[in-house]
Parts: sequence; structure tokens; C-alpha cells
Amino acid sequence: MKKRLVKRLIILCLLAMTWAAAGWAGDAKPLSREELDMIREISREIDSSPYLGGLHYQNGVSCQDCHGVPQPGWDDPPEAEQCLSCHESREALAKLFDKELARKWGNPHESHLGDLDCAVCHKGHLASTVYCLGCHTNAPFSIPGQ
Amino acid sequence: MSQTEKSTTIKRRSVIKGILGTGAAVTMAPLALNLTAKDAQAARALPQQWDETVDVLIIGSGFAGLAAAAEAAAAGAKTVILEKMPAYGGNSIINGGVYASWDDELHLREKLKLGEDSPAQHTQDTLKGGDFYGDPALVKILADGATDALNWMMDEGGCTVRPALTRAGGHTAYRTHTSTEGVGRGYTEPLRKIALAHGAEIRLGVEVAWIWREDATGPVLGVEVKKGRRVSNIKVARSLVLASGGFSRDIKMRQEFNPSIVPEINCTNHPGATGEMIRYAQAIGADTLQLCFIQLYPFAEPETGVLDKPAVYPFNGVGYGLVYVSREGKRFVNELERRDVCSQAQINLGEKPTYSIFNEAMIVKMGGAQEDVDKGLERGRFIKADSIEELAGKLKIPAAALVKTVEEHNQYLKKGSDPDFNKPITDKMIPLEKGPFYAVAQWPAVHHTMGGLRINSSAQVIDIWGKVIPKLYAAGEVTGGIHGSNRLGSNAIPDCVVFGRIAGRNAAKV
Ligand SMILES: Cc1cc2nc3c(=O)[nH]c(=O)nc-3n(C[C@H](O)[C@H](O)[C@H](O)COP(=O)(O)OP(=O)(O)OC[C@H]3O[C@@H](n4cnc5c(N)ncnc54)[C@H](O)[C@@H]3O)c2cc1C
Repeated sequence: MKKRLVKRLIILCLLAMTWAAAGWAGDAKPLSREELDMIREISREIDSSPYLGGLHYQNGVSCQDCHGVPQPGWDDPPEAEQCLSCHESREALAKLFDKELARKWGNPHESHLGDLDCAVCHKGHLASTVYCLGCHTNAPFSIPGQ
Repeated sequence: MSQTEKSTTIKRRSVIKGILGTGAAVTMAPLALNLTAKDAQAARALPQQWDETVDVLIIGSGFAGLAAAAEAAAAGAKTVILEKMPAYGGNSIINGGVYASWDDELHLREKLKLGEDSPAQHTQDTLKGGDFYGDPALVKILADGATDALNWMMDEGGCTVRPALTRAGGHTAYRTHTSTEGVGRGYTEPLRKIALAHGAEIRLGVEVAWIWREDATGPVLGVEVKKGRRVSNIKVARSLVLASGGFSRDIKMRQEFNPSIVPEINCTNHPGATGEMIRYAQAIGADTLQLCFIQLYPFAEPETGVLDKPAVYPFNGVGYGLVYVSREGKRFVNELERRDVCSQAQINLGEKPTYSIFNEAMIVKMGGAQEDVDKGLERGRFIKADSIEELAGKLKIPAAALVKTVEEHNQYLKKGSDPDFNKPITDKMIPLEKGPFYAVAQWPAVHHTMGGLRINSSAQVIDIWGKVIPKLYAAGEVTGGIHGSNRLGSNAIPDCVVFGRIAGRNAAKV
């Protein structure tokens, strides 16, 4: 509980810095009111969020660890390289996928569409969705953070 | 400008300004042209400043957009492709990989002794296959340019094809090539490689939300784009190329132009195959044609409508003797018929699915690969058996009927005539005598929109008054008037690549 409180304080400090930075940061685009509200809401719910952002945070990963920047806005989802700096490689991830499922349906981490950005399926602060299902509507794929 | 041209210009301008002007709030910036606005409230001001300027802006990252980008960038234009989906390639990257061309740099047809062909014969087949609704001048460009476009992808992009050619429905020659990968990616990757090598840039997740033009005579100015929630405006210095594909996934638009394609029918396309770019183009005066011509792919996976690798076998195999049978174990159509005929014949049966039956000897000849077949078997898409009886048992269809059908068909191949459906038998067709035998289930799904924007031989978009819209080009499935009422299979890739190249080259001109 205490640890959480400390974490939350750190986050709020970071956000305060972010907001201050938004005021003066030279070429960084200032965050809109809406974006600030969004960040507040995300940080308020991060302890209990069932989405990937929450799941990461609850395992000790900070906002900046993923986003890389101190003031993520709408369009700053973590880049694939950022994810892979912890999650090793696409090949390693592909190996983790259920073999039986892969044999029958294909492996989402070896997509025939090429290397998709991780955030296409794995959303930080929204329900994650399997992009494959847009066409392969009956594939029994599931994803964490739904 | 002649006197009459001048006066109609003025009239058009004043009419349009009139529509948009009444009741609109007074703004300093000129209003944007919007011929589809229902009322004056819809009037919007042109952007007063642009977030960015590029020479050639291309909408869509499929065959047409990539080919256009490759040529425009090669001509020295700063070239950017905008793609709304998070992956590049649209319908092109998921496509079945079959490409119609009378020849290729390997001269496969000659080597494999598969008879005669010519660009003229390809032109004629394409026109006939579309009931002569296609524009002969545009069809000729497709057929004449197909071989050079294929060789270009091979030479510059490293594209390779399987050592096989098929004769597919509606074609009168063995001219259908298959990429080594067995899918459209075998062409999109080479095209992307060429485009990137010349310095073109591809931006994913950027959706075009409007085309800016001031009036019905002036050039296209630029586009409004959305990335996530951010909206910005990009100005085009040279030209805009629309390569945004077809609208098979746009149920509302499908219904509007062809109510017989009911919403419940499956679709083979990627989710981004919607028609908004056609509507935006109409709003700035572009003419469209034949939007009601929508094709079903007869052989999609019956449950989902996906056109996976196994779903290409029914299309590729017919030139080598593959047969289609109903759940009663009977043939129901001349397998060399066009897609519209094959689809309708299945729908008339009233019960899905139907099946393609082939044997091992046909696989490599039809551009297939044992590896694909093995994978399809693992996935339960192909069914394999050593005898026709056994196959019928696995498919749960009457064995006696299937055996009789196959035996009769074998006789027809030997006699060289098909009294049941009048299929033109060729000596390349293999009787189904020797196993192992294979089956794949199939059913029609919405596949291709033949109609679209009206273009001329230079890929310029034509307006509703019959004039060229300055600085606007289009290529690929977003255009109409090439395939007529029914596109022949394997004709879309050459269409997209040939016209994409033309559009890109012309768009790069200053
Ligand atoms: C499953 C399948 C298999 C096929 N197999 C074959 C085959 O083997 N041989 C053959 O000849 N033909 C085949 N076809 C047909 C052929 O693939 C298509 O006609 C062709 O890919 C169209 O290419 P394109 O470049 O015009 O459009 P696409 O490849 O569809 O690309 C258009 C792109 O534009 C994007 N876009 C649309 N609107 C916007 C917007 N507002 N803003 C930004 N981007 C936008 C789309 O997201 C899309 O990625 C197949 C089609 C399908 C669906």
C-alpha cells in the first residue's frame, strides 16, 4: 500500500513536471486540455487498470519506461523497439505462442502482413484487440489486457 | 481558352459558389469545392496554411500506390504514400499472387510448351470477360504493359515467380503467373523495395479525410489528413494520386449501387476496403462509372470468406483438369467459366459449400506447392484421400455419385469434349485417375469492385463535365471502366502496376 502511494506520488511529480514542461518546452507540442485530462485519468486508474498499461505498472514498470518521453500525448504509443528492449525479439515472442494454435491458425507474431507495430494489437490504455480477427473472424486468438 | 469555354467556366464557378455561398458564415478564406454538400452548412473554408508540402502525394499503399511511388520518386519527386491502416499493402499484400501476362523475361509459356498467346488475345479476353463494358483503350494498355511491369518488378525489385503457368476462368491462354510466395506479398515487397530505394516515404495510420480544391476548374490543392486525433493539411506541389483501392467492405456503398450484394455475404477484402476516397473525389467533381459491377470470388473459405492460399487452388487448377462438385457429388458448371458464372452457379445450388477436387499431379503445374498443400492439410482446409470413394466419405458426400462424376469427366477429357457443360477441353488437362486426391471447400464472397473513378490513358481523373481535373491521378481498384462487368482473375495486379506506373510518372511532371 505504502509502495503504491510512493509510486503514485512519483507519477504525480512526473506529471507536474510534464505539465510545466508543456508550458515552456520549445519545439515539443504543448498538450491540450483534453490530453491533460486523459493523462490524469490514466494515472488515477493505473493501479487497478486491466489494460496493458496497468498490468505493466502493477509490475513495477513506469510510464516513461514504456513511452520513453516524459510527456506522452495522443500519438506517442511506445515504439516496437521500446517493447522489444524488455520483450527480447519478435522471434522470441513468436516462440512463446501456443504451437498447436500456430499450426492450425498461423502465428500472430509471424504475421503474413510483415512486422506490425506492437501497439496495433497491444494497447496500453484501451482494451487490446487482435488485428488478425478483422479478417480471420473465427480464429480462437486471445490477448492479455482485454 | 475559347469564349465558350470561358463562359461555361464562369457559370460553373458561380453556380458552385452560389450553392455554397448562401447562408454560409462570412469567412476570409475561400471556400472549398464540395459538390456533394447537402446544404450550405457543409461548406468549409480552404486551409489558410499548410502543415507540409510534398511533390507527389499518394493515397494507398497497395500495388497501384507503390508502383506510382516508385516511378514518381525515380523521377526525382519528393514522394509520400499515406496509408490509413496500421500495415501497408491493403488488398494487395493479402492477394492470391496470380498475375496475367502473355509473356515474361523467362519466357515460361514457350519453355513449358503451353501454346500461343499475345497482348491482343489478352485484350480480347479481358474485354469479353467484362461483357465489353471495359474501355478498349485502357484494356489494351493493361495487356500491353503487363509483361514489362512484371519484368520491372523482377529486375529492380527481386520478384520471382514459380515455374508454372495456368489457364484460368475466362482466359483463353496459359498466361497466369504465380509469385514464388504464392501471395500478393511476392509483388508488394519488390514494389516497396523499389519505391523506398528511390526515396519514397510510406506513412502508416494516416487517413485522408478530404481533398481540397477551390473550384471546378482549378487544380487539386492538397488533402486533409487524420492521424489518431490529430488533423493536418498537406499541400501537393505536383500532383495527388488516388490509389485507395476498392470498396468491397463498404456495405452501405455496396448496397447503394448493387442491392443484390446483400450485407450477409462474406467478403475476401481487408477491413480498409471502403469507398470514402471515391466520395471525396466526387465532391470535387470527379466522375465515376460502373459502380454497380461488384464481383464475388467463387472459391473463398466458406465460413469466413477469407481467400487464403488453399482458396486459390480452385482458380488455378481448372486449366489442368480440376473439377467442381456440389454436395451431391455432381458437377454444376463449366469450370473454365468466368467468376460471375461460377459464383451464380453455386448460389443457385442453394446450399454451401461446394468442393474442388484435384490430384497430386496437378499441384506443381497449376503453380501450387506441396508445402502449401501440406500446411493446408494441417489446417484442415485441404482434405486428402487415396481414392475418390474415400475422399467422398471424408467430405460426407455420396460416394457413388462422386465416383460417377469423376469417371465421366475423365472420359470427357479423353474424348476432348464435355457434353454436360461444354467446357473447352485442352490436352493439358489431367484425368483424375491417380491419387492422392485432394478436396477444398469453397463458396462465393464479395471480392472486387470493378467500377470507380473515370480515368484517361494517362491515369488522369476526369470530371463530370468530361474534363481532366488538374493535378489529380488515379490507378488501381479505385478506378472504373477497365474490367467491365466482370474482372478476369489475375488481371488486377497488372492493372494496378501498369496504371500505377503511368500515374506516378505523370504525377511527377512539374
Ligand atoms: C484476398 C484477395 C486476393 C486477390 N487475389 C488476386 C490475385 O491473385 N490476382 C489479381 O490480379 N488480383 C487479385 N485480387 C485483387 C487485387 O488484389 C486488388 O484489386 C488490388 O490489390 C488492388 O490494389 P490497389 O493498389 O488498387 O488497392 P489496395 O491494395 O487495396 O490498396 C489501397 C490502400 O488504400 C488505403 N486507403 C483507402 N482509403 C484511404 C484513406 N482515406 N486514407 C488513407 N489510405 C486509404 C487502404 O487502406 C489500402 O491499404 C485479390 C483481392 C483480394 C482481396
